[in-house]
Amino acid sequence: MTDDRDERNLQRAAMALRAPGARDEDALNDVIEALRRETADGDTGEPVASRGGLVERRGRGRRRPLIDRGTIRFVAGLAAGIAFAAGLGLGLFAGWRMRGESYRIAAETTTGRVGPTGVEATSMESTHRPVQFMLVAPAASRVALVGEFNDWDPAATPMARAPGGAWHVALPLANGRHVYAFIVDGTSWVADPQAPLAPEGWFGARNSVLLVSGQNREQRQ
Amino acid sequence: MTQTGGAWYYLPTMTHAAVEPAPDAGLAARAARGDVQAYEQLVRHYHASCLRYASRMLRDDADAEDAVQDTLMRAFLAIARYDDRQPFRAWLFSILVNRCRTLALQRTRRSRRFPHDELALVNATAPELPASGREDAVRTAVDDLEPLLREAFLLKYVEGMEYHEMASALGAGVSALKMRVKRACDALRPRLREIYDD
Amino acid sequence: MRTGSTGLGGRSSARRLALAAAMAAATAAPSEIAAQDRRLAARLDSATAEAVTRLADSVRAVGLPSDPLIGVALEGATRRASSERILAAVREYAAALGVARQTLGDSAMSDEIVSAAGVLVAGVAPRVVVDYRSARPAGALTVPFVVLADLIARGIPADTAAGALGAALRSGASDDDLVEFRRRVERDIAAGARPTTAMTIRRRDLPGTPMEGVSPMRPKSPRLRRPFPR
Repeated sequence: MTDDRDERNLQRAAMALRAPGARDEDALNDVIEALRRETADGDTGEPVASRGGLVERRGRGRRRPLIDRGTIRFVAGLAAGIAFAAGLGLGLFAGWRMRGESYRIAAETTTGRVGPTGVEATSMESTHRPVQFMLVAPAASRVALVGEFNDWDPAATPMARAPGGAWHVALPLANGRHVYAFIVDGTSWVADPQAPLAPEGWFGARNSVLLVSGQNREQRQ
Repeated sequence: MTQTGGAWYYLPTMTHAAVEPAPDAGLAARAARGDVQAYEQLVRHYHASCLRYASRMLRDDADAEDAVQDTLMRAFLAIARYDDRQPFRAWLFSILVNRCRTLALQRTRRSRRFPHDELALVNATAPELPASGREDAVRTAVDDLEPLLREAFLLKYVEGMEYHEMASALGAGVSALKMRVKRACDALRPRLREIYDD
Repeated sequence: MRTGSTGLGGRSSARRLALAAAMAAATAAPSEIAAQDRRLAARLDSATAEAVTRLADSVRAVGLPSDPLIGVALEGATRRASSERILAAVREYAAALGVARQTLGDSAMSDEIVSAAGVLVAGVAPRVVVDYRSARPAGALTVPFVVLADLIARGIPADTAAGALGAALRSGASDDDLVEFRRRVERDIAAGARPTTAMTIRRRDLPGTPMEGVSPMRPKSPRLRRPFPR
C-alpha cells in the first residue's frame, strides 16, 4: 500500500513538473527568431569564428536582469476565505436517480417542479437533454447545484424542495462529461452520494461525475 | 498483490512510457542536410522538454531559457555530426545536459527560487506571503536533489526516457543510472508524502 | 514587446521588463489588461485570471479542451481557494490533459481526454492509458476512466484498480458492465466493505480472468459474465 502511494506521489510530482509555463511560448518564439536570424542569408549581425564545425558567438555577456527577482514576491490575490467542508452531517440519504442510474440520462423531466432555470421540456434543443438532479437533505434550508455547466456559481441553480426533503432541479445538459456538486446551506460542499466521484481533489471535498449521452444502449461499444 | 481471501491479479507493467511521440526521424536527417524548416520543427517539438529540464537543473527560469536557446543553436550548428542511429532526443539532451552542467559550475549558488513571475504582483499594501503550494513544493523538493540524482530523476520520470537513452544523454552506464534514480526517489519519498498527504 | 536584439542575451531582460510593465498595469487599471476570460476576470484577481487565461489559451492552441481548466479555476473561486492553489490545480490539469492526449492518440475525443487526465491526476501512470487504448482501440474510453477514477477516489490503490479494469477491458467488458460494476462496489463500500475487498469480489462479475494458480473462485457462468442484455 505504501509503495503504491509513493509511486502515485512520484507520478503526480512528475506531472507537476511537466506543467507548461506561462512563458514557454515566448521563449520558444525567441529561439525560432534567433534561429531564423542566424540562418538568414546575408548579415547575421555579429562576426563569428568557426572552430571545428561549431560556430561560436563572440563576446556575449550575461546581462543583469532589469527587475531584481529577489524583490518580487508572490501575493495571493484572494484572502484565505471560508473553506467548504465536505459535510455529510446533515443526515443526507443516497441521491435519487432517474431510472435507477446516475450515469444514464433522464429522457424527460417528469415529477417535481422545474427549477428556476426555466427548463421546459418542449423547448429543449436537440443537443441538450434535461437531467434531473436530486439530493435528499431534510434538514437543509437551501441547496444549490454547482458544476461546470453553470460556472460553479452557487447562485445560478438553486434547487427546489419537495415534501420529505428531496431537493431537485432539472437542467438541460449537452452530451458529454459533467462535473458537479451540491452546496448545502451555503457552506457544505457535498458530492452526489451515488454518482461516481471525480478524481480531482484540489480543493478538498470531491465532486461527482455525470455522463450524458444520447445513444441507446445497443449503440454503445 | 495479494488480497485477503481473493486472488492474484495480473497488473500491466507500469513502465514509464515516453509520453512524447518522436517526430519523423527524417526531420533530423533533413536538418543535417541544411533544411532549416525541418530543424525548426524539431525545435518546436523539443523546446518545452528542454526548458523544463533546464529550469530544474539551473533552478532559474531565465538562465534555463538562455541555456536552452544556446543548446538548440549549438545543436543546429553541429547537426552534421548527428548520427540517426541514436535517438535525436538523446543526442539533443546530451548537449543540453552538458550545457547545464557548465552553466551551473559558472554560477555561484543562488538562494531558493521564487514563484513564477506571472504570479508576482508588486503591491505595497498587501502582506507578503511565503511561497507555498504543491507545485512549488515539488519543484523545491526536486531542486534539493544532488545534481546527478536530479538529472537522472528528471530524465526518467519527467521526460519518460528509457535507460539506454538516458545513458547516452548523461554519459553514464545503465546500472549507475538506475541507482541514481532509485536514490533520487528515496530522497523524494518523504518530501512528497508531506506534500501530497491530505 | 520584442526589441530587435542581436545575439542571444538581450531578449530575456527586454521581455522581463515588458512583463513587469504588464504587471504594473495590472494593478493600476484592470480594464486595460488584454485577453482575460470574462468569467475569470469577474471572480478572480487580475494576476490569477490572466495566468489562467494564458494557460487556457496555450492549451487550446494545441487543440486540447480548455473549458475544464476554466471550470477548475471557477470552482476554486467558488470554494475561496487561494490563488496559488487555483493556479497549481490548473497547471496540474493542463499537464495531465497534454499527457492524456499524447497517450490516447490524436483521435481522442474531448471527454476521453478529460477523463484520462483525471486518472493521471489521481496518480495513475501514463502506461495505463496506453494499455487501455490498446485494449479498446476503437471505442471510447470515457467510461472506463471515469470508473477507474471513482474506484481510486474510494480508496482502492491505483495500480490494483487499473490492473483489474484493464484486464476486464481486454476481455471485452462493455461500458454497461463497468458502470454496474462500479455501482456494486460503491454499494458494498457504503455497506462497510473494505474498498479493495469489495472490488476484488465484484471483479468476478466482469469478464477476464485473474492469473492462474489462484485461490478457488466461483465458476463463471455466462449469466454472471454478462449481467445486462446488450
